[in-house]
Amino acid sequence: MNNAPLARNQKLLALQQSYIAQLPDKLAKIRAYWEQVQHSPDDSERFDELYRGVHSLAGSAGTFSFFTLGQLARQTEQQLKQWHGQPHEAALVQTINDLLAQLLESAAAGPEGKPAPVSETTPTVTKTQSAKQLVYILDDDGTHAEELADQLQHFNYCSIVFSDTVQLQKVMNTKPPAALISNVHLKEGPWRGTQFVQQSETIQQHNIPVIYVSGSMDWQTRLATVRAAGRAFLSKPLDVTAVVEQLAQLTTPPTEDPYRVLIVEDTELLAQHYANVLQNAGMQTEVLTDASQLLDRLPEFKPELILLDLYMPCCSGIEAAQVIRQNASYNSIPIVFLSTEQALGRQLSAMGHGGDDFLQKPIQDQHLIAAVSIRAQRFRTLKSLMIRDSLTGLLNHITLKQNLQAAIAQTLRSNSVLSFVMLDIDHFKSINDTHGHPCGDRVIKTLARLLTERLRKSDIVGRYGGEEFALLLPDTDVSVATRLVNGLREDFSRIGHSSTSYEFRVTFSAGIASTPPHTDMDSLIRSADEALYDAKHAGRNRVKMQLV
Amino acid sequence: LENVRQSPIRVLYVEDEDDIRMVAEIALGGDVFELHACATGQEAVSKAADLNPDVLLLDVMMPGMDGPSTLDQLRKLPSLADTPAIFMTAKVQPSEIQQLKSLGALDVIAKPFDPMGLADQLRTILEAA
Repeated sequence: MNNAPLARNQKLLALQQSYIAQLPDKLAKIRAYWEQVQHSPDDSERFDELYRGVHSLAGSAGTFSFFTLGQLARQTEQQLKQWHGQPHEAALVQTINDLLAQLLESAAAGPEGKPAPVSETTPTVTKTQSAKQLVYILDDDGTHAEELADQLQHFNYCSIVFSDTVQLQKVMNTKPPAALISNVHLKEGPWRGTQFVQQSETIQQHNIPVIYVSGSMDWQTRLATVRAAGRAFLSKPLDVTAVVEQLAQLTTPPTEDPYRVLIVEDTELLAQHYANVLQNAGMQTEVLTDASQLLDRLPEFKPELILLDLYMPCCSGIEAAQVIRQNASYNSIPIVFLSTEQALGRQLSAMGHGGDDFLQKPIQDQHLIAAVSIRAQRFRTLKSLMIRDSLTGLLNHITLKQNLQAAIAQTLRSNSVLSFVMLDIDHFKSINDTHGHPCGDRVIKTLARLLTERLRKSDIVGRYGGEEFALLLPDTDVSVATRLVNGLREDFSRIGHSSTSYEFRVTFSAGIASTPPHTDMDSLIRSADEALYDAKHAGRNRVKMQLV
Repeated sequence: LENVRQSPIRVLYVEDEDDIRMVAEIALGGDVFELHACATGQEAVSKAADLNPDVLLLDVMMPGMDGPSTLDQLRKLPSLADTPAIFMTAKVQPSEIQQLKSLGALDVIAKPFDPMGLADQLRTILEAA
C-alpha cells in the first residue's frame, strides 16, 4: 500500500456513509419500477432500468459491506430475468416480492462485518441534507400513487408504494415507516384500508401516524377514518403540497424550545421554589431578587413571561411593570403578578397598570404551571404571527434581516463561514397571469415547503418579497451552498404544479454570496442580489456565485 | 510493462456508477497507479488517444455504450490495439467470464470488489501477464 491506509480508510468510510444515505432511494426506485413493469410488462425500457438498478446493487453493495444485500440483489436479478420471459407466472411474482422485502430488511440492518467506526469526516455531499423520512403508501391505483411517491421525494421523503396489504404488513413489521398514507377503500375490498390500520399492531405499537385519502368526502367516510386512527384526511385528486404539509406536521416531533420565564421576587427561597416548579414542567427560568436589574436582563434572556412579586423592598410590582412597558418592544410580554393580596380592588388596580394576570400566594404548583404556560404559549403564537409571513409561514423580511445581522456577527466571532442565498421564481408574473393568483400562491407555498423540508434545522429560510426567498446557511461555504441550491433547483423544476387546465413546471434562479469576504449585511445582500441578477440574465433556471 | 518500477501504471477506467468510481479512485490512489476515471464509454474513447494508458479497466454493464463495445472502440485506436484490458462485472458465471475473455480481455475482476484489496488484485493480474 502506497498511500496511507488510514487516510484511505477514512475516505472509504465517508463514501460508505454517503452510500448508506442513498440506499433507501435506490430501493424505492427499484420497488417503483417493479410495480410499473407489473402493470405494463411490455415496457422494456422500464424493465431495463429495473434490471440495471438491481444489477448495480448486486455489484456495489458488497463493496460497502452490505454483503447479504448484494447476494439478495443477485438472486433478484436472476428471478427478474426469468420473470421477463414469463411475466404472468404468479409464483415468480411472489418470489420477487419476497426478495424485495428482504432487500429492504437487509438494507435497514446496516453494513455487516465489524461495525464501521464513526468517521470524523462526514461527506460534504450529505452534510447539508437531513436524513430522508420513510413513508409507505397503500394504494392500488398504480400510476397516481407512483406519481405521488415521485413528487414526495423532492421534499425529502422516501416513499414506497404498496398495492396490497399483505406485502405492506410484511415490510412494516421489519421496517416501520415514519408515516403511512392509506386509501380508505382498496380493490381487496371496501374499507380495507381502514380495517388494515385498525388491525395492524405495528401501527399501534410505534404510533405511526396515518393519513387517509379517498375519492369521496362524505360524512361516513370521514367518520370511518377518524375511528380508524386517522390523523388527517385528504381528498383525491391529491394536492402534493397538502400531503407534504400533513406529513411535516405528523412526522416532526414537537421539539419546541422551552418557555423562558423571568421570576422577579425578593424572597430568594420562594423565587427558587417557583423556578424549580417551572423547570420541572420543562421551562427555562431565571431569577431576579432585585427588580432594578430588570432592564439589564430583559434583552439578553428574552423572557416570554415575567412573574412579578407585587411587594418588593425597592419598588412595587406595579411600578416595575410600568417601567417595563415604557419600552415599546416589551409591550407584549405577559406580566403575571404574584401576591398575597386578597382584596379584589387592589388586584384589579394591579392589572390596570400593565399586568396581565394576578396569582394569589400561596399558589399550587399545578396552578402556577398552567397559568404560566398558557400565557407563554399565546405570547409565542402571537409573536410568530408578527415575525412570520402569513402565506408561507417563513420568516418575513424584517425578521430575516435581524437574523442575518446576528448570523454575520456570530460567523465573524467564530471564524466560520456563512452563505447567503437570494432566490427568485422565474417568470412568476406570467404564472399569475396564465393560471391566476391562487395558483401562483400555491407555487410559492410549494417552494417554501421544499426549502424548509430540505434544509437543516440551523439554516434559516425567509420570504424576502413577493416571489423572492432568502436562505441563510451557517457553516457552509459558497461551493457547498451552490451544490445544495443547485440540487434544490433541479428538484423544484421537476415538481408538477396543477392548474385547473393542465400541469406545468416552474423554475427558479439564485445568487449566492458569503461571509467572509463580506463582513457587513448590506454588502452581503447586494452581492447575492447581483449574483441573482447575473443568473437571470444568463437565461434563468441557474445558480450563480458572487464575483470575487 | 518493463517500466513499471519507474513510473506509475496509467489506468484508463470506465464506470458509470459514481459511488463505485469514487471507491476505485481511492482504492487505486497512491504512486503505483495513475487512475483516469471516466463515467461513460464515450468519455473514455475521447480521452484515450491523448492519455496513452497502460491498462484499460472497464465496467461491463453500463447504459448506452457498455464495456465490450467501449473496448471495441478503443481497440480501433492504433496505440491501444494491444493494451491489456480488464473487465469488471457483477456476473461471475464461468461461461460469462470465458465470453468476456474471448473479447480480448486479460482477466475479469468480480464485483463487488474489496476496496482494500483492489490495488493488489490489479497488480497480480498485470504481473501474471
